[in-house]
Amino acid sequence: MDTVHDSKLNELRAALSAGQLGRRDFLKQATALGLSLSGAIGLLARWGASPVAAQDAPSGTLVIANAEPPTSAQWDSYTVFGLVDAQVASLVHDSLLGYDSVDGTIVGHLATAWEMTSPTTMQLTLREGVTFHDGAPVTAEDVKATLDRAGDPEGGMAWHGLIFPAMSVNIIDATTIEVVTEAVFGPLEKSLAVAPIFPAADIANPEIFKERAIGAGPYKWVSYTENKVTMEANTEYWGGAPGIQTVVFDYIQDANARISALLAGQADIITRCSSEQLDRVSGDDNYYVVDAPPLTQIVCIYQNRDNLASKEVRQALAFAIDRQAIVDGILMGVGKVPYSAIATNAPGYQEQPERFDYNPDKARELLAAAGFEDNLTLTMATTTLVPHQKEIDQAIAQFLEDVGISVDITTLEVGAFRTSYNQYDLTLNTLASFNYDPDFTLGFYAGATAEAVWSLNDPAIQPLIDAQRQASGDDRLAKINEMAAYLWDQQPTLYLSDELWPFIVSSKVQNYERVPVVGEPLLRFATKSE
Amino acid sequence: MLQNLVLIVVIVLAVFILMRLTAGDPARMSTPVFASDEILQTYREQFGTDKPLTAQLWDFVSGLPKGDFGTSFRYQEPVFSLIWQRVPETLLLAFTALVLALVFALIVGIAGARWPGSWIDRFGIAASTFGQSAPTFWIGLMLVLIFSVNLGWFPAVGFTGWKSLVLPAIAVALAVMPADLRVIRASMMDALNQDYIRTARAFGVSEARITLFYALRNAALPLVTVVGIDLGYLLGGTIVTEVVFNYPGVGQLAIDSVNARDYPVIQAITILTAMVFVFVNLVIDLLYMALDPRIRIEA
Amino acid sequence: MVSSLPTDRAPALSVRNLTTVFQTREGVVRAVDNLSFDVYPGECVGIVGESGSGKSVASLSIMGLIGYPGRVDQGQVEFGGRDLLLLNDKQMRSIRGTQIGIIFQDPLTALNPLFTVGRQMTDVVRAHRKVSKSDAAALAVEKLRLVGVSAPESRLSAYPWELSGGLRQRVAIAMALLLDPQLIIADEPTTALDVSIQAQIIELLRSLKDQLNFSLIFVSHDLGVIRSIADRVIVMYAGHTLETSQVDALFQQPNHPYTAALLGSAPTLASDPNQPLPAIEGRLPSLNNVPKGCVFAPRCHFSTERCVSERPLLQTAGQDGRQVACFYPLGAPVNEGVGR
Repeated sequence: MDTVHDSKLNELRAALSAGQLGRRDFLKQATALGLSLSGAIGLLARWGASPVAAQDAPSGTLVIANAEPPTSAQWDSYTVFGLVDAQVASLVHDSLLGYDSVDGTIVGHLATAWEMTSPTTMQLTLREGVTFHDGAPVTAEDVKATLDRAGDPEGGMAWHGLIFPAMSVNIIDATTIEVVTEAVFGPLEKSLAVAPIFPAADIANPEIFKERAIGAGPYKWVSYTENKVTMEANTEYWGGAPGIQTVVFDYIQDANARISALLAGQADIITRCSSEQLDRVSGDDNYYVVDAPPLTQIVCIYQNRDNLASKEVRQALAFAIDRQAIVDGILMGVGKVPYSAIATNAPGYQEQPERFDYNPDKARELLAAAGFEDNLTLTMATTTLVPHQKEIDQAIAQFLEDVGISVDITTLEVGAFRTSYNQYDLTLNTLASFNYDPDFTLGFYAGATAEAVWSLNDPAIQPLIDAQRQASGDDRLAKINEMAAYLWDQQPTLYLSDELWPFIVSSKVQNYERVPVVGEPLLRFATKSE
Repeated sequence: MLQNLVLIVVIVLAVFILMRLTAGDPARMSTPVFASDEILQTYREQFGTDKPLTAQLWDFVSGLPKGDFGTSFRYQEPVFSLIWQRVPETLLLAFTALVLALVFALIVGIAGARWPGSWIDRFGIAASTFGQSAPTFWIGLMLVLIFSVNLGWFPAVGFTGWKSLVLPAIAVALAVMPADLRVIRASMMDALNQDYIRTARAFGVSEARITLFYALRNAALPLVTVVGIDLGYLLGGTIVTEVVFNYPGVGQLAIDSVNARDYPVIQAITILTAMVFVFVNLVIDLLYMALDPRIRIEA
Repeated sequence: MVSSLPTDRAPALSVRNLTTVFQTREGVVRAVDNLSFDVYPGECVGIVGESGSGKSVASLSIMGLIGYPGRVDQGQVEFGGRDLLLLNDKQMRSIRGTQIGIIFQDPLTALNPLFTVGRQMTDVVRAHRKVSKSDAAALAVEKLRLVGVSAPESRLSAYPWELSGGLRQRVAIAMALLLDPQLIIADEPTTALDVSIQAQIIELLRSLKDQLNFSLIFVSHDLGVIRSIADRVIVMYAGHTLETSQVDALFQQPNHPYTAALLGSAPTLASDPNQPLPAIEGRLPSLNNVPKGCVFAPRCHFSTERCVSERPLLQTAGQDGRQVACFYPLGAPVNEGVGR
């Protein structure tokens, strides 16, 4: 963003520093220059001259109530997948690249400049004078230790192969490094934007991750007790002190207790809300809703074998199921029906020409052509993993019965479901991308994961994955769409809906915004009034 | 005693085996659907669930005499200290609720037995019918809605001090109170109708002393029995309330651990609960003996 | 045995028109209807009747021990110059145990099983007198010795159920005597005991009465027992007094057909144990449905239409205050037409 109206901004900066320009006026003028509000606040925080900065010291406590705790008290972000793990990582740690605005533009964080010097090499200039929470400077060695581990195919890191390709870091000098990928990797910028940089000492001693987290992010990790992760503002943050002094991620298992906590003022934000929870605050000025989900899809996973090995049958299912009716009637609008194989907010998403709109006659036709007339039976397992899962599964079964497919539904306990879902033809589940790039989910369709998740072994897919990975810019978006179009035609799964992740936020919290990743990179711009 | 030891050993084994028989791989509970086998294997190694069952059983059993219940999968903490941190809160909730329930049941039950059909007796019957028929989670929700969300008197969730105790304790107390009240009322009524009460009255002993000393002493045995049942209920019965109020107690931990298939925590909670149960029963037997000289003689 | 009315003295207890009613689902029933009698100092009055005749209710009414759903509807109970029925709870409580003692039928249920004998006795003492526990215990020991309990000190720590039936009843008697009452009401004190023990207890009561000179109301269903202890007897039936007489006179010549029937059905030492006792035909009337005329008429061999339609009142019959409620009394002639 430093590139936007540089000179004008510098004038504002000077006026701000000299105390000639009020905080409010600065925001007004900066946004007039085309800056997003959060971007302007970021600048304000960064440039705030001492008299202004003192007045705006971090204050207040923000409690974010989640329906889940951290998956494990293992503060090594590269080994865990949970929502809270990502939230904590996004505040405690900083990354080479990052997000400062809702539009998802990638900006420099620990790196000030970056460019591709070859299709597989990115050269980055490190920001100087940045320290970890323990006071140690962030060095090229720290970056190398962190990313080498993430890029090591033998390293056993959970995120390897999903977000990070095989890669390694070369240190050119104290402030210059190169990230070298084994193959061309299109989503690299987005991956580096969610790659927390750890102290090299911690990487060498991973046991320490069971005790605490130290990073260079806007918040310092303080404690994890009784399901609460507590963090305090890092006033030394290079981008300026965050607006809120204390951030707590609280785990409140019960949906009613979560909304009660919000209404009673014990939580300021509750995450991933249901339509019932939204109804409780609708029309109430004391709350507002933010929904900027990561690329999250609710899918009905098919096992692409036996009768479902036939594309015609899978397409028949797509025609038979009225997805819009399910989103409207069961999810009560908290969902968005896609017309491609990736989430509608994914870069590269384009509506496909065949929309597979609800058409039971067409479905019967396709089934008949595939040799099925009232003699196809599918098994389905249901549980309570996905919101309204049982109702959705009932609806799907009903739609399928309407075109002559019998569905045997087995209700399983969540644990049993997670372990044995792929023994059933149909199972509802969610797929989420952690790095604002559809490559994350597209990668599931090849190799061992495809076999395990979908019983899918389609040799046509790997080349499509490689093609989008190796492309860049608009070409890459086109390649993403090509792969999505192929999958859409194949229908290896039912692309039921985007999951919208509505967060209900107390009006006491200002400037709370999200980018489509799992974590909360914009939280540092939020403030809270009591 | 030997019988109790055998009982606990059986419980230890049953819990261990049942947890393994229940579908749900702890590694899968910690990972998304697309996690690869390598990742799952990493988790299994970390949890020790990759070892053969006999080795897992030995790891588990060999730690028990030292009070070592293993390490929680989810919290990466020794299980015992994890549970121990939450015991005070649960005990506080259970005993506050028990005291509330007993005080109410004693006052209303004794008054109801003394003056059957009076307003206080009708009130007691209405309250116990309500407590018995309304599910605990619903009572909890209503209490939160009225006293936290609308009136703002008490916190809705969590534990931040005595105020956090009020609503959950009322919710739990309402669950155990009806049985207490019925037993106290019935046994007091029975005691007050005994000949020896008439004797005491005929010898000029005051009504207060007759009710609170002679009759209550005779009603104490059923009371102790019902308190024993209450304690048994409270050991598990605070779970629903803890979830509704997000109260950081052992019950909440138990639910979370079952959901996450955190075997060591579930095993430890079950075994400790069983031991407390056995202990409570022992105490109650001793109380019987202290309260009724006839039982003492037989023993 | 005192054979003449001790009219030279004022009665210790004077009951007049005592009526006790019970509220039942079917309506108000009269368990004791218009009972009047006197008890003189040192005298023993026996009240006899079948169970349900109202004899126990009468004794409880005197003590003010009738609880819901019953209540004393009318009458006076004069004792120590006061009408006990007009006293408040506190005043009544101060009389119970101190001036009037009571002995109940079954000492096993009448004594509290969870408290020792000593505890129960000292509690009674300390409910009325401000004395130390040890003084109260000393008094208990004294009274236990008085009623012939051996090793009384050691009995104090015994529970009632650890004692034999006879011993228990002695404890109950000692408890009634604790504070030297002028009047003792014994409500079927021997019914729950073996026959051999019965005699001992009756003998004990009689000797205690002579020795301590208290008045005694002795309630029993057994005329034989009454005969062995009472000076005067009141025959009750369905809440009503049918006959009252000196004991000897009653046994010589019962005036009321019911008394006669009762005598016939009572075992005596002369009865042949192999012969079944002649029972009185029929049953006591339900208190809900008391006959309009003589309450005994439905079972009476001598009943007439008059007996069925009109109720005979208690009339003086003969000497020594003898009274009978019958149009056609047995034995002594009664003036024809007397009754209204």
